[in-house]
Amino acid sequence: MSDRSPRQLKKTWLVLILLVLAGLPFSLKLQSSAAPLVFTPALLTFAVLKARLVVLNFLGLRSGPAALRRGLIAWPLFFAVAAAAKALIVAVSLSG
Amino acid sequence: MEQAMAAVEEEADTFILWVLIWSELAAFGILIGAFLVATMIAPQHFGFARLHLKPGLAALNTLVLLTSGWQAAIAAGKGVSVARRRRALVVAALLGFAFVSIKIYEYSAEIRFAGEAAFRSFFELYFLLTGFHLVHVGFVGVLLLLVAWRPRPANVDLVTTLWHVIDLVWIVMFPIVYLV
Repeated sequence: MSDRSPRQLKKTWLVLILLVLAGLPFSLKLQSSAAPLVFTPALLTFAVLKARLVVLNFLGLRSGPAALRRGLIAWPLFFAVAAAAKALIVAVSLSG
Repeated sequence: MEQAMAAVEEEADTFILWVLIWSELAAFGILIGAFLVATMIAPQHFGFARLHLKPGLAALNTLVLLTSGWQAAIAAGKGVSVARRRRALVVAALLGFAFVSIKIYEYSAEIRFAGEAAFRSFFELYFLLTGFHLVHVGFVGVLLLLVAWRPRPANVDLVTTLWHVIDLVWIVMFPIVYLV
C-alpha cells in the first residue's frame, strides 16, 4: 500500500506526463531512418526514469523491500541498455 | 490469534503476488529479448516494417496508462475513503479500456501490412508482444472493476500492484518496439 499523499502522487503523475511529452519529438524523429543515433539513449533514458518513478512512487517501493525495489528498477534498465547496444550494433553494421 | 492468522495469510498473498509478477516479467522479458534479437538479424526489414506503426498513438496510450496508474496509486493510498478508493479504481479501469480501444484502432490500420512477406517476422513478433500485453490490460482492467465493487484494502493492494507492473512493461516496450 502506497504511503504517498494524493498531492505527491499528482506531482509524480505530472512529471511522468512531462517525460512523455519531452520524448515525443524524439519519438517522431526516430521513426524516420535518418534520425541521429543520439536520440536513442535520450529516449531510453526517459523510459528508465518513468519506470523508476512508477516503481518508487506509484508502487510505493521507495520505503519497501530494497531487493524488490532494485530488481524492479534493474528490469527496465537491463532492456534499455540491451536496446541501446542493439541500436549501436545495427548502426555500425549498416554503415560498414 | 485471528489477527496473527490474517497477517500470515496476507504475507502469503503478497508472496504469491510477487511470484506471479516476476513470472510475468520473465515472460515479457523473453518476448522483448526475442524482438531485439530479431531486429539485429533483419535490421532493414524491421526498420521498414516499423514505418507502418503509429508511435503518436502509442505515445497517447502511454499517457492514458500512466494516468490510469496514477488513479490506481490513489486507490491504494493509506487512509483513503471507500468512495474515493472505488472512484479511483473505476477511473483506472476505464482508462485501461481506453488503452485497449486505442490499441485495437491502431491494429486495424497496421494489420494490412502484416501479410507482406518482408514484414511477416516483424508483425508476428509485434502482435505477439503487444497483444500479450493488451490481454493483460483488458483482464486486469476487469479485475479493477470487480475490486471496485467491494474494495477490501488487501485486494486493492494486490490488483493495483499488478496494474503498475503492466504499466512498467509498456514503458519499456514502447521505445523498443516502436522506435529504437
